Amino acid sequence: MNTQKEVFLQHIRSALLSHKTAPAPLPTDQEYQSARLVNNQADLTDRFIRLAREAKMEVYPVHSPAQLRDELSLLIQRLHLKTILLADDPLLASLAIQTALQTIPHLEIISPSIDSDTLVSAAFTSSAAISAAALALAETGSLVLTAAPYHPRLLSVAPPVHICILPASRLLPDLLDLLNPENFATSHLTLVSSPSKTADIEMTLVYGAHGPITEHLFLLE
Amino acid sequence: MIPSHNFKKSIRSALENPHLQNAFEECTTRRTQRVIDSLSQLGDPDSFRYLAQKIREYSIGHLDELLRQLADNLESLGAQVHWAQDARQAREIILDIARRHDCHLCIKSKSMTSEEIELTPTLTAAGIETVETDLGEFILQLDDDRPSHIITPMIHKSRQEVAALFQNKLRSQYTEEPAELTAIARQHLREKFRQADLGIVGVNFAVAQTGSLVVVENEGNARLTISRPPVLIGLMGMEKVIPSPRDLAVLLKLLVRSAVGLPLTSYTNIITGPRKPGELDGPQHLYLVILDNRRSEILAGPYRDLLHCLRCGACLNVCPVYRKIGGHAYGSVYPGPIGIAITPLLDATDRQTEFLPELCSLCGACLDRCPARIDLPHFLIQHRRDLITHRRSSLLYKLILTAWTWFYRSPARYRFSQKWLRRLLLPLARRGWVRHLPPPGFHWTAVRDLPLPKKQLFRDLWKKTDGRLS
Repeated sequence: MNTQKEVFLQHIRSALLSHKTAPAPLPTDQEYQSARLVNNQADLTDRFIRLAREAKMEVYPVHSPAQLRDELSLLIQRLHLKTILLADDPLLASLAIQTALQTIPHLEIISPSIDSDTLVSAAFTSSAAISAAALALAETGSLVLTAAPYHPRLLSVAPPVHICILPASRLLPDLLDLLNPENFATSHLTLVSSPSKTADIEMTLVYGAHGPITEHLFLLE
Repeated sequence: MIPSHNFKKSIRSALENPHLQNAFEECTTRRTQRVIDSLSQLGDPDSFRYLAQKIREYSIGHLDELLRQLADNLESLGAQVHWAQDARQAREIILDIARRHDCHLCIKSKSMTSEEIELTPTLTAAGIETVETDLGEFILQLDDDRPSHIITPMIHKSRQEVAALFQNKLRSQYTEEPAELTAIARQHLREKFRQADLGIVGVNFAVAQTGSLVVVENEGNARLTISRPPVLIGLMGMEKVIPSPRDLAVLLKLLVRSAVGLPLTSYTNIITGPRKPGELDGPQHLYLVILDNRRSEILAGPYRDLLHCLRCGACLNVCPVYRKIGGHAYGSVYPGPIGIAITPLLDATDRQTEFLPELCSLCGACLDRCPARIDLPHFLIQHRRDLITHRRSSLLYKLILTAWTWFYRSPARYRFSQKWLRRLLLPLARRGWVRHLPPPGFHWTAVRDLPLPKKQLFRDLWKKTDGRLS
């Protein structure tokens, strides 16, 4: 095993040595910063909403937890959702989302954090899931979802409808602000920039290939 | 050199198929326009391309260190790294992992590298059901067909073909509506996602500093592949490594726009190690297979910069040859400008491939669009030079080229050659073009027309008008 690795790397080493010129250095800090498209001064919320909507995400700006709960309940009833996977996220708990959902008649609320098997069957059969975004990106209008014990990976990708709660304070300006070693500490990070989509058949754009068919986002300002 | 009969046949059949001509034109034109629009959001896209080129040059120049760092970080996260010298070793490693974990159902998300090593037949032969999950790849697998584009694998198939295929193989109601066809595939594949015990995913970038694997996609099939099965294997050519997360930021900004004309794909997945304690899904066992398969030979030689390529497919969409003949006519896993440059190097056993560098008019459109500024025309000329100087071309061909070179190297000889060429060809020409040359030139005119040299040479015209247009 280890010898395989050493032989492999030795091939590369000798290939590199056959070139006389030394490889160029990496760009300077200043050059990396020149790739920045959005800075801290920009109006992040506006940009985020505009780009997310362009990418067919439904964005609902809300101004208080109470308004969030009301509009969320209305959305669930409007979409006739029957079963909802609700992430045991501390943010969702602090916003009393579960309490609000319990008042909706005929709605089954499932906690995904029971065990693996329950999670898998619930994820593939529920009509929707609700989770919180760890961060979001104004540059591209993307949500940042990270895996955690209270946020399984399947929760936000398997059900046909994904509803996401995002406090505006979690918005970052630029990819350069998101992509740093600290943010890579999670075992799985996904940037979500639109509902699942494909254009494989005759370049016709279709939403809902394998992931969520619609993405709903409550932006709490 | 002269393309073999097979090439000519497949190219001709592509040119004569109106559906294909339409599909290629539609796909490449629309995509190219979108790419131009979205690159303009970068302000000065060229400054990004210089940056990307620097990052790739550094990555390839420090490949051994970066791969070691990547492997160390992956191992400390609890993943296992395997090193495959060639395609056969890669297949054996993957099959061994699948057997060790007693896997029966494998879901695959799009990977050109897995096409390169011909992985699926190996797994299937070993009794492991292997399902392509990217919609395009799924349809191709159902129809026993091959991808024809790096990014949009089935632009050569019509909706009617897909409709008939689904009716036949999936026993679904006949429909030509792309949305309904997509829904049928979604329904069919959901059960596979649910039950899969092995996932295989192509890796777009590997970040050495953090041991992260990056997978970009639109459909969500890669997300499901890296979320559901307890065993996950990432597969990558060794050149995919980059130093740090901020390099990823720069490259994503440029590459995704170049590839699909969007700021980002629907999903950008960053996997850093297997699932952690307390997490309910994600791979319990994470493997990375790093493939050499002649890449270290490329690294040692004059074609080294070709390893800067990250397979965005931008060069395909702007290539006038690709836009006319499509991916299948090349007969290679990687088509288009990057394909004809890299295939003869990756697969030197197949004599068919040495003619690939001829499928190029040296127009330079690919160089203008390549996000890593790879000088593809330069490498294609280099290939042709190799072909003439050391191998496998006929004595006659070499003789003709040597004579040509001699005539074109001095102004007097050039003038003389043009004058006599015109006199010789005049009886064969119709409206300024020679369509059929007698032997030995007939191979040459079999695939192209020869312009008759003009009566008045450009250089004479220049002299007369002092460089003015009229």
